[in-house]
Amino acid sequence: MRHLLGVVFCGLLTAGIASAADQNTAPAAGWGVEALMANLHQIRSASAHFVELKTIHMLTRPIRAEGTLSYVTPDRLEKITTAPALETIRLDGQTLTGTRSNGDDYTVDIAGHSEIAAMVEGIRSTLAGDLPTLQRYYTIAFSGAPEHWQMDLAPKDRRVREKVDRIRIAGAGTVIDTIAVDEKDGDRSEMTITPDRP
Amino acid sequence: MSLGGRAAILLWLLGLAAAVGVIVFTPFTTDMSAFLPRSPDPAQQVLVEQLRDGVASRLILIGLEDGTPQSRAEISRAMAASLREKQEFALIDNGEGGIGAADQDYVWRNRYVLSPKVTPERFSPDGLRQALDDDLNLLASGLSPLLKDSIARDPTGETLVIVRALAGEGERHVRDGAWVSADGKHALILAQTRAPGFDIDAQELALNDIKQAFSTARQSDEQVRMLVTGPGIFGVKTRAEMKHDVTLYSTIAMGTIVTLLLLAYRSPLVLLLTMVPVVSGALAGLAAVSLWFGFVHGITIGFGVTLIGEAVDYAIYLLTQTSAQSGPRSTLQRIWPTLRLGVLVSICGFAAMLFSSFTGFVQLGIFTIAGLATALTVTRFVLPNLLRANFAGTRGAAFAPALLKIVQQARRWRPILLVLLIVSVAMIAARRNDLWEDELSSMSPVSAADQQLDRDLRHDIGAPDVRQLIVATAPDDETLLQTCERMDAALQPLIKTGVLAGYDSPARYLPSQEMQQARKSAPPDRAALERNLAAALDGMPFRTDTFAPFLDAVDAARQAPPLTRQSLDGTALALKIDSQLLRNQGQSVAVMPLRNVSDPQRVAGALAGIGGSGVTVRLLDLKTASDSLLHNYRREALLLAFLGSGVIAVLLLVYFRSLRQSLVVLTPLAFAVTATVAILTAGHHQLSIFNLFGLLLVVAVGSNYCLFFQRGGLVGEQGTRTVTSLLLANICTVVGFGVLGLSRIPVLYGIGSTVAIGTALSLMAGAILAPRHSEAL
Repeated sequence: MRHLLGVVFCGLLTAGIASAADQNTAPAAGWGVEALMANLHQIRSASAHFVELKTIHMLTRPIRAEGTLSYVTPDRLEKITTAPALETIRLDGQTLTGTRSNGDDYTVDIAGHSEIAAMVEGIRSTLAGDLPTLQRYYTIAFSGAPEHWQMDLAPKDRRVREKVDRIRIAGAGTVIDTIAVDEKDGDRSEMTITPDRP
Repeated sequence: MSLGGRAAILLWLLGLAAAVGVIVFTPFTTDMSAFLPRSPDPAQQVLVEQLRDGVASRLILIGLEDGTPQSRAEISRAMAASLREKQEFALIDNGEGGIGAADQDYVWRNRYVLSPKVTPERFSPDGLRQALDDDLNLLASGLSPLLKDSIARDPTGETLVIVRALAGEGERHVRDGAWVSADGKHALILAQTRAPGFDIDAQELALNDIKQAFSTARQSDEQVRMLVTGPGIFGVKTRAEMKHDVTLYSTIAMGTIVTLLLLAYRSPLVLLLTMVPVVSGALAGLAAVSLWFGFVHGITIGFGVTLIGEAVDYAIYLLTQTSAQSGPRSTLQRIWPTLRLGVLVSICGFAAMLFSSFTGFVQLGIFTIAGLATALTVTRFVLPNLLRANFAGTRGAAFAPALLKIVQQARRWRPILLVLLIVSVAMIAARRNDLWEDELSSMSPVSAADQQLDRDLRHDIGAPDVRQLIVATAPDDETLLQTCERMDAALQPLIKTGVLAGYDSPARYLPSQEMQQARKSAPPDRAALERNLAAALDGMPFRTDTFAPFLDAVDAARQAPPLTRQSLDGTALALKIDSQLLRNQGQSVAVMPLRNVSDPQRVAGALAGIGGSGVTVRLLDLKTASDSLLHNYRREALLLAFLGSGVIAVLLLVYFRSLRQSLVVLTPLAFAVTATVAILTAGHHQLSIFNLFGLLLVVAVGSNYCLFFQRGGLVGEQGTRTVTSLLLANICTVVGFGVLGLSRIPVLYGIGSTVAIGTALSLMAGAILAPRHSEAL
């Protein structure tokens, strides 16, 4: 049985703290994960609307959440959920800050919680185009073409693997449009992202 | 040699052998706390106890700076790994792994007993409904596949409540898997030794382990530097510095004194004879302390030998004043009454120390009294037997007649002495409101730079730099923990209003049995809880079987054996509770550190009425408490000094049966003490408790000079020899103590400078105020 102390906030991430990016970078020759990451690395900031559907075996019906996502280079990520309840999660450097509608605010230093770090970096290092960090936490299976690609991330950390099978990030160009998380117990979440037009 | 002489020497040798025999079996300690007082006030007792042996005294703070953040983190991890294998450490915390597995397990297993939110309402249909709403939001907002398990087992979120309370101690920053300061410039490691802070030997071993671990780990980046601080480290440093200073300065002093005496006597043999009384006295003093206390403190030896240094004077008086014509015996007969009275006066002065609250000073008192009495006896009965009958100490020094002349005409200087006295009194009067150092830190032998480093690292670590404490006492742990819980209830509202930022309480980790029972009976029985849960789940999207693990957990909690201190074994929380839940003189004592108190009055107000029937609750301001502790010691020292002076005055009055004669001795001493205080406090200097003990020595040593002057009759050959012996004795004292005044360590500096200045002034004042030298007694 897993104790949740210390990893209690891990869930924050699997739902996907993610962002879309402006498509202002043309695909480079020799397309692959390195090229994608290099392109993503050029993005300074991005914001998007998201809709997330979660299927959880504990619940008799899926739940739907929506809100906005934003990313500012190099390491700032924010997810504001507007429905069903107002909630803000902000990742700034190594600090994760959460504001909940019931007043249970929290601050976590992710470097002290390797599981949380693994899951946050799945999204953030993708957005930042930071391949070494991403590879520290995940084995990457990359497929597709510049106009439609997908990355399957398999956690390297044993404790994360016990919970999460795979994170799939899909997109076109430097725009991420889906983040799906498949959990070990069959639960699943899929986040659809629509970038805001600048 | 006479039969009596032989007997005296035999007795002396037997005595020495016995003393050595006792000393050989004496344990010597370097426990600095012997110089922390026994205190009658229970709250102060706790303070002293904490300084001595508390968890805070066992902490060593390590900071790594320079180099790259990655290399600092790497070195931190390598050091922590190697230090964790050492027996010396109970805990090594460098931020790896967050809350320890054992602690997680303790909190998780006992959540229904530890959480302050466990009340019957929480398990009612309404309470559960609220919790489940919250859980649903958690799931929706994506609070985790990792959280799902815990939602099923802990839907009311008790673990979160407890973790929040624990984390209230302040979030720490971790980079690259190692704990760092808020600005990221230092990697931090907190080590806790098994041995208490006062066990300097053990602390030194621990420090060596740390240095060793660092020098091995640092090979990955030579740029990284290590800073180490903590009470034990201070102890180690202080002892090393003290040893260094005492060794250095007493070597200088001994060298100078030996050279001086060799010049005066021109005979190494006589030099050795000079040492006979003082060495005998030191051995007897050590044996006496050992028999009285069962142990001798290292500092007692160091200082004791300095204190009975005046016994060197006895031999100097005898040897220098003996001329070939008179021989040692007649000289002894002549100076014996003065010598005897001088020693009596000294003993009266030092006897004041016997009533001190500091064990260390009591030891010093016994040491000096036994030592001086022995030295005097040896000078009287043994030393003459070791000398040839026609022994002559010194050939008349060339300057001696001139010196005598100065002494004889010294009366002329009386007006100047009077002016100096008036100036001194005026200087002291002007400073009367800030004459004394009232900060405990002034007594600390730790340098200002080291104190600053300590404050900085403490700030970085966010650890025990507590100013306000609640100290509660009760006859037993259960009553005490119940008291802590009542204080919890009183303090919680104050946090919301910002009166204080937070506090820590032993009841947080180990609730009273009463509270445990109350929490266990908060949820209804399984059937009722199931009904409440079903009612709460009505209309919610949860599957009905989801919360079976919750029902099981509540059942298990109800049947679990009560938590005791042993339940915490193996957790880091155990260390915490041991620092907060103590036994002291048959009482249970709780120490609750408060954080950032903005209004102590309101805290005290909230606590009013919680004590009663064997239970005391006190809000303690550490700074005020330690300063008032010092204030009390100083008052005590002052009282003892006055007492000693009073006894000396009475002794002289009884001996001389003449106020005038007594004043001839007392006036120069009073002048010397006054002028010394004026000199010591000139500028912005303040008097420390060590200066006060120094003044006691000034009276003890200076009285001897005055007694010789008081006898008058300083004329001719005898007069020459007497003034020479006094000057020689005083130069030895000034040199011996004066070099101690060069030390930066407050206790050495304080006593050294006071005695050097004071005895020189006593000699001058004694000569100036002496009666006319024609009127020999």
